[in-house]
Amino acid sequence: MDARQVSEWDDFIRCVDGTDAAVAQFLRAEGLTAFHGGEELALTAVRAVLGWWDGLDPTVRSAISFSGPGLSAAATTRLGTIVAESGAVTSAGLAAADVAADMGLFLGTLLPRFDIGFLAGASAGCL
Amino acid sequence: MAGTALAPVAAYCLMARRREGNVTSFGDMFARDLSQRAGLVVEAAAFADRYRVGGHLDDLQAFVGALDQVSRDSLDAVVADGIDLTYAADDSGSHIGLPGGPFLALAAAARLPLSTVLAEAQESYQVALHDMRVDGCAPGV
Repeated sequence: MDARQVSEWDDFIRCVDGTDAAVAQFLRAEGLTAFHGGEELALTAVRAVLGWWDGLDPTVRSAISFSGPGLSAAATTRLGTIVAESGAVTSAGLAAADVAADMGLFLGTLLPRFDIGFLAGASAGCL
Repeated sequence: MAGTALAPVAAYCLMARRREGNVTSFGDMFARDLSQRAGLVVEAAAFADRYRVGGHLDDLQAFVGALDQVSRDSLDAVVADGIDLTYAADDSGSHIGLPGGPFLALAAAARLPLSTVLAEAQESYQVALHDMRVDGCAPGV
């Protein structure tokens, strides 16, 4: 029996991998980079992004899908702040502004690559 | 013949008024006030038709007013980044249905939140209407 503990993040990535390998690869690499290797925060952040996305007005969601690849770092940071605040994302030892900045960094790498709807579809049933 | 007799007055009210030697239309008044109020570059010709302007503002207010805070803030973040959503389309190529007409491009060009531009434009609309009434034009003209 493998005594190594499988983290919730690893579990999540493995599940996503079963649906969309490209999204899983992105999350494995960029997800952890944006959150400085913090798996717990990365998972919380993905949940927050999906919660934010799900709660958006459909027209606003379409507007963000349309503009996502072209958004500046300042705009993704602003969106990151909105996501972090609306999802009440916190992390021990990190200031709220740092969490928001990390969230913005994550969105800044995500949006040019994938529509958030892709992430939501690939993650469905994995969280 | 009554229609003919009223035509010059209606034309005056609809198209122009004379102030300090300059012919000023609704679009001019609206554009000037909005420029001063929000520091925007506003092209009067795009806002010449007060009914269309009023319609765009009403539609945009109905849309933005119905949004929850998070959706509104998110939309504002996109527009303030300079993204013009006038012709925004979804994956199927259909227009996403965002109202606001020329105010979408105006907010994007000014890099201001859409809700900010909407609020300022509503003020300017009222000012422009008021100025026309002061000049003796009936509100409905």
